[in-house]
Amino acid sequence: MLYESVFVFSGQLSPKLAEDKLKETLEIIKKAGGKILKQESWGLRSLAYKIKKNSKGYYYMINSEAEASAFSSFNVKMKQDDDFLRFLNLKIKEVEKELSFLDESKTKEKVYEK
Amino acid sequence: MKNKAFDNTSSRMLLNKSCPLSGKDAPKIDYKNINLLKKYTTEKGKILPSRVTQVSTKKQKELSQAVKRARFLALLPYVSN
Repeated sequence: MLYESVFVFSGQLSPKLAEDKLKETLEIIKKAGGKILKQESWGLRSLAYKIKKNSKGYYYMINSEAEASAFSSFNVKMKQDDDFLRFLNLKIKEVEKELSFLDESKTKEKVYEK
Repeated sequence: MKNKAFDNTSSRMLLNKSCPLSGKDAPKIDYKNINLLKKYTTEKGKILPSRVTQVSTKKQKELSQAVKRARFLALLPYVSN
């Protein structure tokens, strides 16, 4: 099954720590037999509303091929871990080759244009 | 003199008869496309009714699902003042 998952980590972390958090979560998926097919970083974005007293967050999106059970621990983690703000998991039919609208490379260009 | 209210409704109907999100060149509805979703929400963050935007029932369903996903990820607000 193909999945698209978005992770949001606390903006109070340093960029390095956020990367480490992502690696940790990817490890969990890999250990459960999942394959990471695509990885996107949306960078540090401001949240539309405060989550756990955070007003900013690091966004990461991954596309993977895995069993549903690989993601089962994340919803619990979201509730327990103060730096793990959001987790959204969706089934997808195919992996899009192009970068999505929110990828850092695209959003940064737009800032320069303006 | 013509009735203003009547003028407004008739011009709206003439300009936008078909769904702007259906057809070949229509943009894909996706929770990641925030700029598109913002066009179909009010300043306060409410989803605009399809009778205003002329979006088809099918696409309106997709749109509302996308907005709700974007809201969960804090890409869009639930309410903003």
